[in-house]
Amino acid sequence: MMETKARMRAAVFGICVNLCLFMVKLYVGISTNSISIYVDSLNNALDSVVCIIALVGFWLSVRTSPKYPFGLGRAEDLTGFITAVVIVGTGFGFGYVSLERTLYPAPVWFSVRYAVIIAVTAVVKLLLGAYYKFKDRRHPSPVLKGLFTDSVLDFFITLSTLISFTLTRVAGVPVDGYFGIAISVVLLISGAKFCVSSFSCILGKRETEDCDRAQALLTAQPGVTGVANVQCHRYGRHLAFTADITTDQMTVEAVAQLQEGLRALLRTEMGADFTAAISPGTSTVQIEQNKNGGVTNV
Amino acid sequence: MSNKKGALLTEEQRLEKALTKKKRRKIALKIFIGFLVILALFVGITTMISVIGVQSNINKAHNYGSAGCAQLEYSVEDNGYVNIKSDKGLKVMQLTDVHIGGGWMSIKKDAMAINTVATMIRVEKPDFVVVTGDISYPVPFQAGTFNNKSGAKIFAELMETLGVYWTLAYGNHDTEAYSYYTREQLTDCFGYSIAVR
Repeated sequence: MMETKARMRAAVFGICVNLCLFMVKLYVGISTNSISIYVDSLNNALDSVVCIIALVGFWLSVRTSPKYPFGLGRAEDLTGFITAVVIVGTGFGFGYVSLERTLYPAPVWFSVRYAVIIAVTAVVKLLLGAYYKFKDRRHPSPVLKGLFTDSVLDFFITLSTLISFTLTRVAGVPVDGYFGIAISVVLLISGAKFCVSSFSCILGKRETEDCDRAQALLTAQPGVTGVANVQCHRYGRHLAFTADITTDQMTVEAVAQLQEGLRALLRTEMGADFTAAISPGTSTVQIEQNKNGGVTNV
Repeated sequence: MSNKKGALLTEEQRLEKALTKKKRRKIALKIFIGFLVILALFVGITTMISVIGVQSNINKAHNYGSAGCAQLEYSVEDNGYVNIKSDKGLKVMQLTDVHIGGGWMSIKKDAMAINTVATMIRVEKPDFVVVTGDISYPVPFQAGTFNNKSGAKIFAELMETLGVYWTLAYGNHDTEAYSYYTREQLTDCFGYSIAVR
């Protein structure tokens, strides 16, 4: 709960900072007629929306409801996917506006004062990224990792708008529009990547790392002679494992004790639920990949 | 004591019912307060964006500088008629439905409208511009504001900067029934820009 509150605080901080950056860049972008600064300002507005979605995701992920016995953890994946779709849509919109600017160039008025303001906003974005990194180290979350990556990307975007803004003074071509297109392409690529990763989480991608770790933990336990079909079911941060176990224990009491021991082990080591189908047997553990991508003993 | 329909409730059941009612009221109050906070935040943020948008569009209008239009001699008669003297005839440009929203939803569209008007005047260099209505477009679901003065102010600043004689006839959108300002108040806002009216 404390972790979630810390994450929510980080999201609220992100909303406020991005909103301020959006307003400052909007003012400079419209005043100077620079399309790349204007596009960058909208990118910051979008980041605020992303933080709002993340906030809702964090809030939902700790909710419990009898209707959803595994919790609402997948809301985080869902909000991530919505965010990715918004980013892709915005990338297309920005690309169109920037292309229009290259075809129908308009004057851009350079001012040192405005250039300094944009440079300051770039530094602020970098500091925001550092803040997300710090929070992610203390309270790990894929959303915070995503926000950190996005902030660093935005720092470079703002830096490129600053360069284009300065170049428009000397260049005879609509540099502004070209930089706008470049920013749109970066947005489209990052949005598409985010889209694929969050969608595969919703579809139920295999958690290979977690499965392997659970397999290793279970195999090392005394009394366990074989571990097969380890499957991981992820509901946000909540994990639930299922596996087929063979044991050399022959009494019902011993098997029940073993099951309880394994359950406690995965709860303490990985914070996960565990359900096992235990059968007596003395096979040695030989692991190979089964057709579903899971590991099994033969 | 049984709890059949019409029978009296036990003390425990009454307490439970009262607690549920209290809980429901508390949840309803929380939702209501949450809604008010979100509404206040929304209004506050959009108002700030509107103010920034209008100010930045005014800055933008200033940046165009003079269009280099001829400053012909003119005289105003007592009845309000204006006589403009020209040896080579008069080049008149007519603009209509510029539709400057002046709200948070129309910042980009307003900037494009300013660009278009400024480019036309700078290229054509007319002696006189007649705007035949709808400079402002304070339609809330398209501009995000009821304020019809913002659009008028941006346009007046642009014409002032370009340095061209101009006049206008009001259109229906300039002063909608729900807009904040009347035609008289807008005319005051235009100031000497439309002294030639």
